[in-house]
Amino acid sequence: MSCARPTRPLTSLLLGLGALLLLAPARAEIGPPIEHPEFLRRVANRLQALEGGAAQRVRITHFGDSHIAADLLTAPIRSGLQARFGDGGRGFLLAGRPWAGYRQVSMRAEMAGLWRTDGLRGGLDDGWFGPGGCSSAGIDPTARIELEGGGNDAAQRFTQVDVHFLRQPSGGCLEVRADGVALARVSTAGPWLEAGFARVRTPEGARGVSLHPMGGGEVRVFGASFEGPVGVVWDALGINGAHANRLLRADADGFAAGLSRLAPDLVVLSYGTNELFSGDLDVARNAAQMDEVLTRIRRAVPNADCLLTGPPDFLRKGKPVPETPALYHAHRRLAEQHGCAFWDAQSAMGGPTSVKRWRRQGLAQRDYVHLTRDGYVRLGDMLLSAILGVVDTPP
Amino acid sequence: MRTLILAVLQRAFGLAACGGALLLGLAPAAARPATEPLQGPIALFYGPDETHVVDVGTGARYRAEGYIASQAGQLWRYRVRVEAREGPRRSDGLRGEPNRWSVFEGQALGEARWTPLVAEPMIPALGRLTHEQRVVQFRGESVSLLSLRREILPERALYHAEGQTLMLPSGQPMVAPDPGDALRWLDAHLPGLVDPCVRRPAGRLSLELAGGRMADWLLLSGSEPRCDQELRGLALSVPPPAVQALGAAQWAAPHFTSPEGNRDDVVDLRASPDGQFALLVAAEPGLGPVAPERPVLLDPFEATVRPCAQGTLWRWQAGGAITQIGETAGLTGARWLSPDDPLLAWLSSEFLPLAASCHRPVALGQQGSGALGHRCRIVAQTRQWGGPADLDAEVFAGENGSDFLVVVRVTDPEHQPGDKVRFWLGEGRKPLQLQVDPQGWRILGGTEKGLASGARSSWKRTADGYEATLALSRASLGETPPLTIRVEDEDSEGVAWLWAGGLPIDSQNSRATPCVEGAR
Repeated sequence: MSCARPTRPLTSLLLGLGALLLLAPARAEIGPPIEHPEFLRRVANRLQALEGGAAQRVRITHFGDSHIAADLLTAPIRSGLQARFGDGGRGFLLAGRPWAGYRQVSMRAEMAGLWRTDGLRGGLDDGWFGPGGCSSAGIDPTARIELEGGGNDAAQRFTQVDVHFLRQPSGGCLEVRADGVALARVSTAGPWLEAGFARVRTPEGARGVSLHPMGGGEVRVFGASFEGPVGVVWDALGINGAHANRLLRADADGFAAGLSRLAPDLVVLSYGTNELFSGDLDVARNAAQMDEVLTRIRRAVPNADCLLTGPPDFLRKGKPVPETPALYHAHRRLAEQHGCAFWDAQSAMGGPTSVKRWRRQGLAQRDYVHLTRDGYVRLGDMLLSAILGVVDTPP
Repeated sequence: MRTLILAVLQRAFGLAACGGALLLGLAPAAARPATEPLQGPIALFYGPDETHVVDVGTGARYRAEGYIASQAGQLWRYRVRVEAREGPRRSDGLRGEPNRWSVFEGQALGEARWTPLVAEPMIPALGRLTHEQRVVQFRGESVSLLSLRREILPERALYHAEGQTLMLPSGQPMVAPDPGDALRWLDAHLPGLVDPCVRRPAGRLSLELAGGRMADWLLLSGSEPRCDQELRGLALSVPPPAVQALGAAQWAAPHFTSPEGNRDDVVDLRASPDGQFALLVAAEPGLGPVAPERPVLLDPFEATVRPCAQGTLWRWQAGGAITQIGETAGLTGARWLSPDDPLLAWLSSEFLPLAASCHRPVALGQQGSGALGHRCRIVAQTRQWGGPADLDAEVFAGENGSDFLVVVRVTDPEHQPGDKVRFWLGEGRKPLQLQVDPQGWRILGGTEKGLASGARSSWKRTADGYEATLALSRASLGETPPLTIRVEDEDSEGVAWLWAGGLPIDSQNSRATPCVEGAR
């Protein structure tokens, strides 16, 4: 542990270790290696430097669909990396609970009062959703959003919260509180629509923050990032049912500003399941959309490494999806064109139709699309092993 | 898909309600507050997208969402409606860019049709557009708007800012703009004030300053790429601050002098027509009705938009003490209303009584019981809502031994067999849906049917309606889940619904949710 890191009380440390033991892999899962590991060299070097005592935060921002939204796949990777390299905070959380099932590991979110969700079905589809792909808008002064960004030792895992919001002509006043005490009042008004940010130092011992509209107009919050000074942050930014082209619905400048603010060292994209499941996949069009997505990400964070993961194995109406190899081929080619590494989740599961075996082993759900908690942990462990394989391999 | 969760009833009674009254047991301890008779004089204020009425005699305050004003005996409602639309699909098949714009529009109360008062923008074939209307100041008989347009084209970004003041409800410009003449006049008389970067006339804006003085600004905007985001305002006329006297006190902004002592935080004062009362806004300089009185507004937007500048509203009676009424957030456009103003006839149906503490949620006690809401949201399905005497409700929650109780006390003088109360309990795609009616309770749907294990209900008539009670086993519930309630009122003219708490998880109802506010 670096001496630059804050000291932790022993009890909190033990609690934290307990939480890590629950999530950390019981044994290393061996899956396919990262393809084109040279494209992860920068983030690997940063992780090595972190392990060597550099006082820095290394951030991975992971976009995806329902496999990512639940955080079951990403949580073991996060905890595994944080156990070895240090805990840099829980990362970006959506503003409250924009949909009923939004729950992730080591976080708590509640909403009270009058809020409108934009970016999801039925909401305002204006392209201003922040990095998480949806936002919560409120004007009612009795409304609030509560966010806690950690587990039992949450207070030890972040020292600042970066609130992402929409600056807009009718923007109101947003108050950020911790334990009921106001930390900052932020005007979300501005002449032009643009992404706004408010980085707030949190008091020692704070478990989270609450966000309150304070009048003067609508407050539209994209989310908040819980960050510590040193260690690894892994953002799990998944939305159920999402296709990759969902990222193209965002205002290009707004998306770039939000992603740039997160400043990831590695961007991971995990899409393909919903595209294949839809039954009307045009692989060429999908490749064009993915190409545009990668271009936007490269433009927003040109120094970040990038990793594409292919979709896990699944069945549509009980059968393998015939377009899967074509989609894998297109995404592999795109990854190479954009200087991104690739990881084959289907091979990790055992190849085509392996989801049947996973189902028999209690690792896949009855829909033969989603995995069980144990299944996601196993798949996440394999991706973690693949990433650590790159880190531990000399260039 | 989304969920909207009731402000209360979450996480072991981590309740927060506005002015909630404590309750133990089944019977509500506090009766629903009635709208008190107005004593007068009556003042009208506007804030960002809200209308306030203050009975200065009693200090009672009422709030309505949106801008409500009476003009020529007719009541009108105004709003800024935000729209978004995807641009044309690209030639390579990719989706078009997102465009967003807003329109200021008005509606005669009671009518369904909204009339746009500004033009909707053209959506560009290439690139993307945002075109926002900002209400700088709403004053009832007129409104001052800033129009802010940004067009992101493949090669460059175009910015365009304009301002105008419209008469209401016609939407006609209040002052016929002649910016060319004004600019020539300024060049001749005050050349140093005209920034070379902002020479394009961008309209004329009228704003009401402290004490009700009207002032005009000529807006100038950038005319070339390097400065086309710039916006300046040059004052064409700014009346000097007037000395307002009330009894032994007087005010000339920002100094309020009274026998009780001098204050320099009073940024606005409006004396009543009879000279017996005054409404004061105390705040840091620049809040609400006060605008900089310099000849040049460096940035009209920044000068008028300060959402975090909080103020307080005070009542002062000639010869009496100054007492605080409540908080304000940029209240502007204060007016004194005559007792026969048509707006007052709508007070009981369009406005909610607002306690002074309402902006500060009240944490309920350890017993975890309380009144959760009052007239939260009315959705008239097939008939007009006739005000709180027609349909209204309070929701109470509490524990009684091993039961968790929800009591819905409904004001509904016309009792029909179809009246019922629906409850949505829990989260997920299919929360447990229960119905309580005079016949008892039953499950209508949902996956977590175990939550209703051991449930009981009661239904009893009251003098002005009925009271429906649902008792749920605490052991079955575990941690108190989110709760949504809908009172379904049928009468001879049709159906109206009243919602309390978050809407159920339903993609058809994803835009709006009721408040929990207003119980005094």
